[in-house]
Amino acid sequence: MAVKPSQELVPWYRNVKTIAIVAQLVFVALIILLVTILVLNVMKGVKTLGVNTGFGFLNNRAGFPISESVIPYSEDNTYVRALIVGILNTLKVALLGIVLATLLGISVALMRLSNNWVLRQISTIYIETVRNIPLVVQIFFFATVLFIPNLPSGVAALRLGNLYLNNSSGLITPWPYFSNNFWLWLPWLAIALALAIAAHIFRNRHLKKIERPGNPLWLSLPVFLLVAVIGYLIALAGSKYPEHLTVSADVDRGRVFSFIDENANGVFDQNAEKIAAKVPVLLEFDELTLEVNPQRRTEQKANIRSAFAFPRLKKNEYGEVEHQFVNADKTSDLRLHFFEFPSYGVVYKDQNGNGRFDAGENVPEGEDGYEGKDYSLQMIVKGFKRRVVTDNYGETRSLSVETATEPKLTLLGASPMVMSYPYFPTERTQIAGGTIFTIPYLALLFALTFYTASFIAEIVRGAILSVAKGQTEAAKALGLSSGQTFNLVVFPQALRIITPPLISQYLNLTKNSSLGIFAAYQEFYAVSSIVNNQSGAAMPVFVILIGGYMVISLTFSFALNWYNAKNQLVER
Amino acid sequence: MRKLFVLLASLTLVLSATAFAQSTLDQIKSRGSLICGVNGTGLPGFAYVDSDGNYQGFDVDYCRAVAAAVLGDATKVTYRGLSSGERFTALQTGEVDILIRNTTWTSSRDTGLGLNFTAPTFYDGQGFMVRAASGIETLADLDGTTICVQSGTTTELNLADVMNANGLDYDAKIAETSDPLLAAYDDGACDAYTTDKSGLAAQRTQLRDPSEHVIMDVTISKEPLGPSVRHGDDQFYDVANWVVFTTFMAEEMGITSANVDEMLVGSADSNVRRLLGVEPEKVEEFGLSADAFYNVIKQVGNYAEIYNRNLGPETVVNIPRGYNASYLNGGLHYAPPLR
Ligand SMILES: N[C@@H](CCC(=O)N[C@@H](CS)C(=O)NCC(=O)O)C(=O)O
Repeated sequence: MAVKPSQELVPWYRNVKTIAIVAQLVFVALIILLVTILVLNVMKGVKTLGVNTGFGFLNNRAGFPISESVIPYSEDNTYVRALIVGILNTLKVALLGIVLATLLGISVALMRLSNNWVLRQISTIYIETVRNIPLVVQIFFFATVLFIPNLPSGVAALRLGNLYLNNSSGLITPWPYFSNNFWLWLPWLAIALALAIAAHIFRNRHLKKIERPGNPLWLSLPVFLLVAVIGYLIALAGSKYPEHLTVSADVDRGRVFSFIDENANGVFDQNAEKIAAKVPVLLEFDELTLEVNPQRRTEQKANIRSAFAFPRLKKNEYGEVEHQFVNADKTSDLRLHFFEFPSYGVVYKDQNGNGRFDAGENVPEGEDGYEGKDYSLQMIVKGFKRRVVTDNYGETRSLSVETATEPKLTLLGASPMVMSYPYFPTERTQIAGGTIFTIPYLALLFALTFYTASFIAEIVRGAILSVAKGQTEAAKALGLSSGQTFNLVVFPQALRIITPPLISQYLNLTKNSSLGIFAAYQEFYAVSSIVNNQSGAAMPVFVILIGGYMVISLTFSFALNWYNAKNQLVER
Repeated sequence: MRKLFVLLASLTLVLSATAFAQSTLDQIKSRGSLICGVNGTGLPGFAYVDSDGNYQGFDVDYCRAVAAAVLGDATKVTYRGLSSGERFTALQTGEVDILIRNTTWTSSRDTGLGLNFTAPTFYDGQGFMVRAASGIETLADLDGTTICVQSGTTTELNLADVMNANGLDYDAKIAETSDPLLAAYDDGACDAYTTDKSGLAAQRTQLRDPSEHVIMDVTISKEPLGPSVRHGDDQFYDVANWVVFTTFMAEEMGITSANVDEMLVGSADSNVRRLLGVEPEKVEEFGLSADAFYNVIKQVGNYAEIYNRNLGPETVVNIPRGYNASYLNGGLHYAPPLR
């Protein structure tokens, strides 16, 4: 048959245009069909199972503990609050992760561009290995390999000044908390911020006018600090505690409690009176006794049978200390070797007579006991003092003692912020005061930081390399130093290229934090899955989960896109 | 175009197959295998993979028992290892036919999660494991300690309740699976480890030096553990339930895997004859073949056999029967009459 060249005679089903439209229609129809089937399926399944579908369950009591929280949380709170705790935990790891990953990423990029061979190799190896190891593996690595096997637990924590590191809690550091007088300082902070912004803008304009390079931060930062410090001092002078603020101690349970004793009867009336949070108290005992049974422990990686651990006392917390055995009949043989005086060490027998503790000289528990009983060890402390800060619930563990004289409690001066230092109230693992960066948190933070930084480094490097070499040469010709060339010419141009891919790295980091479940970090996803498991409301929880991540991501990308738009090259 | 229509039609068919499913019993029969959700981490005595790569344990034996009843062959089981967080979703979505994973029967799992629990196969209670040398003996001694607990369990709820009620402070160290938790406890990161006492007995054997650890003489909850199935299929629920009762009845009547063939021909007791399908109607009413319960006893055994094989004195776990004896011996296991 002859081919007819005429256009009109092509049947509709062979017309490319119609086919394209039909294909798209079919595709859309298919998708609609698929979604409908899935939704119907879910609805049918949910109906036959008879499980929760509404959001009403959200106000029920959660009933489960969460291992760390930024805001006060207890099992008596609702599912909603548990989910909020989860979101805040996600933000806590994501925000710090973003800052650290950016800093690390830029440093690595600069290392890789430097003229120093060693730095270049280190950064190349770092990028190539870290980028190619799946994130989950890195999280596992930090969560188990790096921490758990190498760290002691309880009072034996590694210590650097007021910083402690142990494998039950993590990194424990002193921490400033807001007190009830914080609002006195708040206006000053606002003024300081306003003045600093004004100074920043002014300086920026001035620099432009006189055509000098310089950083306006050198003016705005000191302005901020100065006003803030002066404001703090004034707020400090005006700080005072609410009337009837009282502290009480429960020696048997080793606790201090702060509350507002409206009716001044010396006891807390649960329904009528309020607790007072974040109150610093000085706790003093003239004399107290602590008692422990030396026992098998892993100390400094050796399995020691007669290690003893009292609550850890800091040097400035005690006057005189004395140790004595109870129930040991051959006390003359038993000696003490301290890993840290006076709180922990090992009971040993000097078998080779060299006057010090050697491996193998520790005594098994029960040996040298009295009438078949295990011996124990007492520590008598005279002149004990400790500064404690009550927590959000007005309570703090102070020290669990065996016997003691009545303690003296003194309220320490009121101030807008209260510094809380960590201390060990018992020989066990729980620590009071300060704040804790838990091992799950640190593991996830490190993994996210290292992983994301390796991508950021490549983005930054690429952007810097993309700035035309002529720009550098021109800057040099104008007599700019290499630092000025980088800060004023190269980096500002690179920044425009960096920002868009950086935004997606930030979003990735945030979403990747949902892998925290592998480090036992209780972020949004982990908490949601517990809520799902305990309430059975799979669909609602799923909706909340999607919605939550969407809000977080959209907020981030909105903020960053705004910044990006502001900094883009204005084409003329 | 015609091809596209065929594709579309077949797609609709496949998808609607999931939406308008057959009964569980028919699914298992046509698949030729029972999909059973068990403990994924491995819990010695209850569900673990032995050195030959086979699943073993008390829970696993109940999977085998159900397969023996439905398919006539106890080996026709496909196991799915599940964590405590995954287990309910797996059952709800039909990924498994039945969940036998040391799961506690609670009201909210009945209502909120849409499960049906059979009679408990193991009466348990939650306890604590601590280092023998730690001096922790009573609940009050746990004040100020760090406690390892698994999320998505009744365990974490009970712990919170009991510590709250007694005004005790604790830090919870929480993970979704038990492996990292147990390791953390072994490394001294927790002062105590809490779960069902059966779980404690099993997991203690996995510690570096089990003799250094003791299970405290404290029980803080009731944990009736047993198989569960989805809401909406009463027939399969009945089958699962009566497989459990079969193991109880066999123990009550003194039928074992060894003597069941003798009983089949020799017994004049009509209770026995009904159970073993010599008088077939009662068993057939479940939609099963007449020898279904005979197969359970023949291939898996009665309750005492299952118990002793996995948890008895000759095993590493060695849990005394206690509440888990037959009611004839003062325990709680009691089967309704099959008639
Ligand atoms: N019976 C409780 C607890 C069940 C549970 O999760 N038990 C632990 C130990 S007995 C377990 O199976 N862990 C293994 C894992 O999930 O990794 C419940 O149903 O919630």
